[in-house]
Amino acid sequence: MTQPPGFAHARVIAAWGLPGVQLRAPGDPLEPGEWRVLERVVADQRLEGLLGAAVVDGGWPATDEQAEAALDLTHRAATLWLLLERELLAVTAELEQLGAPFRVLKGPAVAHLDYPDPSWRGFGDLDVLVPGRALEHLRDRWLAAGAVRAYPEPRSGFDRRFTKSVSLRRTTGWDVDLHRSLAPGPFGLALPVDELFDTAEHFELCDRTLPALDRVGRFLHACFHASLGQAGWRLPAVRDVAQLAPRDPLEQVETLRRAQRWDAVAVVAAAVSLAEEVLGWSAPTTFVARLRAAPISARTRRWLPLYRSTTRTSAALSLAGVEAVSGLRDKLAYAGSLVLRNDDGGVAPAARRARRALALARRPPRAT
Amino acid sequence: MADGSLPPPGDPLADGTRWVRSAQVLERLLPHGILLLALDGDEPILVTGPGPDLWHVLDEPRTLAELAGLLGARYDADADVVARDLAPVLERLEASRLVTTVA
Repeated sequence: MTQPPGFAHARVIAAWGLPGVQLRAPGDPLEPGEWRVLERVVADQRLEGLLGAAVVDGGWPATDEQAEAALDLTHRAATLWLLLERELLAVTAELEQLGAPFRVLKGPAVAHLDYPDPSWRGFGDLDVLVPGRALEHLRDRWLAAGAVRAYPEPRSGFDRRFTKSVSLRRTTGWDVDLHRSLAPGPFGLALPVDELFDTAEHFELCDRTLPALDRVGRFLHACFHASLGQAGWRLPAVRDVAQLAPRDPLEQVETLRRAQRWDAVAVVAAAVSLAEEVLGWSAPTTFVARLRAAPISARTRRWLPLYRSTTRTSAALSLAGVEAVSGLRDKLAYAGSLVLRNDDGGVAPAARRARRALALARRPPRAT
Repeated sequence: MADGSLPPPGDPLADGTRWVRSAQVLERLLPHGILLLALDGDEPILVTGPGPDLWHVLDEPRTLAELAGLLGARYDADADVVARDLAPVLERLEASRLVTTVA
């Protein structure tokens, strides 16, 4: 594993507080130059809360000056978390007003539900899962109010039917990802997204109670995020995998049952193995045994390498997505949305072919 | 007063005002204090030292004397001294809409 400077130390911080971890902190405080590098990596990876806790607990050696700097980093990061949580309350109040089901994803949800102390899990934006129609409605409402989206929609209706998420900078200045699914590319398209609203676990924020995915759903999402993330893996996502790994036998069985239904066993296996390697952590042996026995579909064996950061291209993921979308009409619509762009002035031959394919798909089947 | 005598004029411990956390506050416990943000506030405020314990005992309406008594017992300190230190802190928290007073 090639690592930037300071990353080996950041891995120790990321693993802090996990039981049975083999990574060890250095015996003495770092030299000033090394410490400054670590500060940068910790801030970049959003590990400030873990660093502060480890320093105060004596789990990471620090000079008085370094300890003060660690607490200052934690304070600044926590300021951001609270401001984001205030924005989350506004966003979810709007969703409640619309009567749309939703689930809070990642940062705030796992911080409050899965970590012994919410300050151990940092985050830098908000992620909310909503059904496709609500996503479209909210997106239009926010855009009309002046929000800016990060990437244009490839084709009208794409966000509602196929996107993983839409990233919007709201007029408040905060970034919110409205999710339709939990992963980009074929894994996200194969996911039965309606099922994500069947269960929930709630957490308290201020005087409100907000729904998140249930624990199994949060673990599987953590695996998606760690294994399939766009910019390679990040330490908090890897830590989430270890933090949420199922220990209870019943939960292990349910996790793998759902992973099979979502065609995501390969993703779980990759994420668990990544967490073990990066954090020096050992997954529960019973879970590893069950995971090894779980069948991995041939198509997901093909899909997984497409996500590796060194060889990843959006074209390859999109193409594999055609295989993941179920139903001929949806496959054609998905393929069509990839070649027909909203901003197309002319119509490319590929677009004409896709339109023709769509027209054919709409015809009623001929009687034989 | 414990011996039944009247408190001296201006004695903060005699004030019957009861203080309680506002319901509209986000919080995060940090290794060196507690960070609080009122939903209608500008910036989070870090309350260090016994801040987390103060926030904990503000979970229900209490007078300054009650708060000072609880914190004094916790830190083995004189309640009168604690009350004198606590009064301006409570006023600051109230000004930041983090705590409210109830009748």
